[in-house]
Amino acid sequence: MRRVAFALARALNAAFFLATSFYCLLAYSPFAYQQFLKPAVISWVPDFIAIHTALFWLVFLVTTLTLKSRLKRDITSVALISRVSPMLDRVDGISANTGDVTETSSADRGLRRTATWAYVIVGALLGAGLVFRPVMPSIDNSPRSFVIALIALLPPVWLAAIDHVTHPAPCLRPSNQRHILETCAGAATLVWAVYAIGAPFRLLRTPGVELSLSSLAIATASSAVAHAFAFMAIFLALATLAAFAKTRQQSGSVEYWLLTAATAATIAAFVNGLVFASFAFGGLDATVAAGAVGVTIAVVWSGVARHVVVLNGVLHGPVALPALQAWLAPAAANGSRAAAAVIAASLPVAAYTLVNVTGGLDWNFVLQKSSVIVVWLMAFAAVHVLLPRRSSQPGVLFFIVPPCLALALFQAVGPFGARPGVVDRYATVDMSFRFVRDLRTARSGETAAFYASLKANTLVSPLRVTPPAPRLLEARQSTSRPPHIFLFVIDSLRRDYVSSYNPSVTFTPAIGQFAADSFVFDRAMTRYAGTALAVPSIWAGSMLIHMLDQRPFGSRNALLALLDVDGYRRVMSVDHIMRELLPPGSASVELDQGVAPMDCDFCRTMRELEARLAEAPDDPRPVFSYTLPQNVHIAVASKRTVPEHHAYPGFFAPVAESVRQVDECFGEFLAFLRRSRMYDDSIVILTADHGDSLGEEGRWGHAYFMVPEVMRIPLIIHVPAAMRARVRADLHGVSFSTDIAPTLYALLGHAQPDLGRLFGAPLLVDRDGDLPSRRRDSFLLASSYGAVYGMLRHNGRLLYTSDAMDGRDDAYDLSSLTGQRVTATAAITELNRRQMTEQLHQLATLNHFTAQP
Amino acid sequence: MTNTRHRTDGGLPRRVGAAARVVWPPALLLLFLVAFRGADAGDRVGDISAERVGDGSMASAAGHASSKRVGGAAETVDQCEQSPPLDVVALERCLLVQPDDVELMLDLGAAYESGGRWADAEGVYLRATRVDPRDGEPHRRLGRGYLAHGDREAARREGVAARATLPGDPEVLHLVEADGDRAAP
Repeated sequence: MRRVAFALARALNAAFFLATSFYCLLAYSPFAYQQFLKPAVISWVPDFIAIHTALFWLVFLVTTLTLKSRLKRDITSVALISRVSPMLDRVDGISANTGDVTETSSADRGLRRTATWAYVIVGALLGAGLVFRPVMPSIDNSPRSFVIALIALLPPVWLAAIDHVTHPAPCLRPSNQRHILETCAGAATLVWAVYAIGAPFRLLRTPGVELSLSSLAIATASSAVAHAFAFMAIFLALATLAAFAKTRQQSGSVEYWLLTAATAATIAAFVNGLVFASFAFGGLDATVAAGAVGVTIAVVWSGVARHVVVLNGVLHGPVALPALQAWLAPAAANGSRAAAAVIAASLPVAAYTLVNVTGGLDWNFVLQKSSVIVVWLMAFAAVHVLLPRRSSQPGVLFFIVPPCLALALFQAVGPFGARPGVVDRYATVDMSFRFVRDLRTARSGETAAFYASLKANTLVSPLRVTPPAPRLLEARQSTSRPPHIFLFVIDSLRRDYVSSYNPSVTFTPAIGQFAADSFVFDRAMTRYAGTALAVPSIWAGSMLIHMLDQRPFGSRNALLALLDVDGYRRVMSVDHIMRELLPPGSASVELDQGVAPMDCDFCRTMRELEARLAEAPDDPRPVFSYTLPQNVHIAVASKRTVPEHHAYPGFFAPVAESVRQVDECFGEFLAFLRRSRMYDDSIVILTADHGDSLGEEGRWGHAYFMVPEVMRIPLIIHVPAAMRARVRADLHGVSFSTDIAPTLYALLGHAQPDLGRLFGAPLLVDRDGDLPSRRRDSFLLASSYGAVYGMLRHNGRLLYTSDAMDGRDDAYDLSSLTGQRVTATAAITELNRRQMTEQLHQLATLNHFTAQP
Repeated sequence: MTNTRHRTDGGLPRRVGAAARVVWPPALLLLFLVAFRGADAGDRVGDISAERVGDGSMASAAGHASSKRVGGAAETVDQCEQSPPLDVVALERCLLVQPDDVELMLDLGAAYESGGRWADAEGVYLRATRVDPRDGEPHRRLGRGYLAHGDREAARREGVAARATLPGDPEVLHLVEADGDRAAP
């Protein structure tokens, strides 16, 4: 019990300081700061900041309780050391005469008490300082945040150092290689089974993934081979450490510290390669931070391990432990076989639950993959305890044959590529298999160079870019007063959740009615898979150079230029993204003032808009209104309670309920326009910045994914009847959100030249005019947050994506409502990659930017 | 002394054995890493053999390539995708391996029409309307052709079909009004 309490206290301490450090690192990453922290996407983060000082004191007091005995005369430790001291003489069977234990301990105790008191005093001073001047609220996107992030890791490292000097080094002997091999084989089987058992259940819950029984059997077998390969690789890594340690004196201790170092390196690689990369945090500073995180976790783990091992020694008598067993001590259920059996038996439920709980709000599968690591560790520790330890040591062949078999199977079966379609689908329901598959990032030189070029064109520094001179500004004053314009961009609204696109939808009657007298564009797409660039691209009417800070945006803000030239009165929401797109002091009647970006509610905004419009009925200027409501955004919608009497079969109910609410308020606003005789004097545009994944193939939300459900959007344009009578459209032609600004230019009578595929084009033109012919064109699409690009061809029917983040290419046929994954030939791959490269080069040239892979 | 004897007693085989015990794990681990890097995952799209065209591939998504029987189907698909041809023979060959590619059908229909082969053009446009009934363009071309051949009723019918996705298109409006006597008031 005491060991568990101690481990929990240390876990609490480490979790608090790691969370503090991670928050500072997220703030230091411009991407994460802009996309997550500033708009407060994760609702509990501001709460964490608010109570940070209180949490510090709580953690500090709990930690101090665990240090209580060490602050006194350390009687407990004296007794403990006296009992354990014989162990010190038996390290690796080599006499390590420590002399007079009591004398040495006395000197050590002085050092321990000093270090412990220093920790407590510094902690108390720090806590007092935080009370008077909290640090966290002032964390922003600056180098100071990086420094504080590193400083925040010092307390747990310091505490771990105290834990290490408090307890004498346990007597360790080299690990039994046979036991390691058997543990790895057992853990591979257990982990494979844990996820394979859950796969059929997850298949039933995952939309868009279908596997026949035979395909499931093939994929499950592939997973078995992949797990055998992975755990045999782990065995070889552990055997390598053990083999090296054996060449040194005190080989048990050496092996233990090598294990700790390997743990630190593995965690650092995971944090840097998956966690930080997912938040566009890279470079030397990311490597340093990841290294610091890895070392922190490893030494805290080691501190707990030493505590547990030493107490076990006290309770059960001093026994020289194998190094690996000592290292596993915090996860090894006190060595109890019964407890280990319970852990092993509960792993299927734990794994299934962990993936489900973390899946909904995950970002690039970071949480789900982290949960896999936890399951692997628990499985390994449980099997290590459960398997009997045999003293006999067979010959080298005994150890070489199983890995060679796993390698041969891996080579023969090719678990990732033999049946790509089947394996990809299965990977969506077996996160452990997906984790192994995604570890592979190497590829041919040509592909690596291509991905490097994508990365070089992504999240570029504003300092290296000179945006183009405005090219959409050939505006002239219209002869008559232009119509009002209402541009409603519903964040994350999927087209298949709108009745005009999906006849199964029954919860958007108002939008359906609105669509009946409007232009509904069948094949509308966003150019960007995330708000950060999707919204600016709507205002620019074009693709943008890939950087999150688009300032100064004024010269490229085509829509704003049009509104200014035609004398519009802007009544609009100005969120954190919009604020950077408008020039300082730009005159606007601001809606949603003081509302946090993620709290922007369409119904509230519509009520305010109605009030604002009613305030100035005699204003001769036409009105332009814009808002980006968050009702449907997964972070908001997933918290929505769905009334019992509202059923949405076939849809994700929280989102469907959110869309229903948006529809209701949209209907009320249209009724207001009609009552005010404004409806037939208005252009009303209903669209989305992007769609969203709602469980398709295990994906949720919109991170880097470039997949059909994220890229396809609704686009419905209502124009006054008189205007409608003189325009034409191709509703079945491919269209983009970047076409909205050029369409408004055309509707308001401002001629503009065809600027090419990177720019938008008018979707509604005079009947005598020509619509752009796009059937044979290819169009570049991009993720907002990482090096993921797409090529849309065949009139928006075929989507090809290249994901340099995860190192994979995919292809989709968008003929059906939801789209379907297809495979591509080598030539098609080459064609799409070439076109991507060409258009990225054009975009770079336009912005006077030179990519440096 | 003991140490000296210990060293000489085992001789070379003993030393080799000791070295092997240290070296085999990292050596095998290296093999594992090499095998893992070579595994077919990240490049699987690019690595897919052109021979695999046909079974749900992107090339066939441009038109389900059911035809392993067509000689050099994959190469043809690649050529058609990379630089769509202009002449009738090449277009027909492309359509053979990409039978659901509406853009190809429109190109081929236009080529037939310019060669005076209206019946063939009509066939390929009708095929396009079956593949994607919502696409207004094949309907418009059919209507134009029917009107040119004096079938005003058929022209109007196609005009009405085209109007759903080509609202305001002058030619479509003309087709809708083509069969004046039957046109709805």
